[in-house]
Amino acid sequence: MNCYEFELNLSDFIEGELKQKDNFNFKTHKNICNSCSKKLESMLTLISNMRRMRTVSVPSNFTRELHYKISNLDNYNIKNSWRFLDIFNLGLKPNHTIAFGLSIIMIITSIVYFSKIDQIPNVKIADFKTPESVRLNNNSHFANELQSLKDPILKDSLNKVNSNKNNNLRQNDTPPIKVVNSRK
Amino acid sequence: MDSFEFTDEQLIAKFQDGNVGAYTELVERYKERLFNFIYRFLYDVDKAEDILQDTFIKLYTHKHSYREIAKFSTWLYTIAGNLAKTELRKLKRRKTYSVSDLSRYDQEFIIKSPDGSAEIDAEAITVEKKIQYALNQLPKDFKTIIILRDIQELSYEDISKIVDVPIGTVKSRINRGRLKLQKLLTNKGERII
Repeated sequence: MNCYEFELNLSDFIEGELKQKDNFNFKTHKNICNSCSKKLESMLTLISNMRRMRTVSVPSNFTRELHYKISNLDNYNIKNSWRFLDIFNLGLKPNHTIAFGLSIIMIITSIVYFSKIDQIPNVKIADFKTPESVRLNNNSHFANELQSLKDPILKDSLNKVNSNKNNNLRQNDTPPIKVVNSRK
Repeated sequence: MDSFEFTDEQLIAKFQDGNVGAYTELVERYKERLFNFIYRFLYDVDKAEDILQDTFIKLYTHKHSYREIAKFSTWLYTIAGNLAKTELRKLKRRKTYSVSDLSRYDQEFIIKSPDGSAEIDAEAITVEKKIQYALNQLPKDFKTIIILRDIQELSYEDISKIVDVPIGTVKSRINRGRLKLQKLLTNKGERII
């Protein structure tokens, strides 16, 4: 055994944990090495001094203060037990509970909001009317009415009105409306 | 209630069933040992008292966390050790220790020698202060193990469970810790104690 190994085995030797062979080698080295022998002696003194260190007494009011703190803790728990009901039993802390609740509210709100945005109104392109098409529609409606009239005088006067309107429409580059004579 | 009537494990089981008297008994059994462990670790009486109170409050509020697979004493020492380590981190940020600080507690608290007598010679007090000063300079993992083994005189097995490392690691840390202490107590080749 060399000095390094001796140092490694110091505590095991003191605690009586060395095997017989190692114990013999340890003692042999101690007898031949003055420095290691002193190291062992010094460590034994250190351990002995540590075991003789005085004990510090707990302050006399310690138990009373502890019970006071515990009774305050019990009172606090009773006072606040209604706030989170049995959530504490589930292992949730108040902050976690609030955060959990807020995140659920946010998720529900965003689902409702985005579902409304995605709705496209049910409108066909054909339903869109330009002012010209509206006018044309009105003229064709007028022509249909004209066809259904039986009185020739009234029909002629209406034809004149219609032709005046068509002239106005031509000025605006709109297609003329043909009036079909039912007499033919 | 007789101190030896029930084991620690029986008392904690009673406390888990709602017997507050069992809790008081456990506090009485452990307060001195834990206080000394925490005090040697922090070297601050006020902080040690606070940490001891926190330890027993944790025992009160987390009584159902204890399972009978572990020894009650090791479980309680683990709680105290963890709280003390957290406190030490806070303290180290604020102050550094010096030998001149070491006399404060003698005036304020009754300190008994292991044989129970209050009388102790001045030389022994000086040696003790030097050891404490050296202990404060040890890394916290070594310090915990040295206090548990050489001051509290716990077994390797219990220490291994408290600090949650294998017994082999405990043994090697004890040896290295003692060698470090020896080195700290040796001033320029001349032994202080």
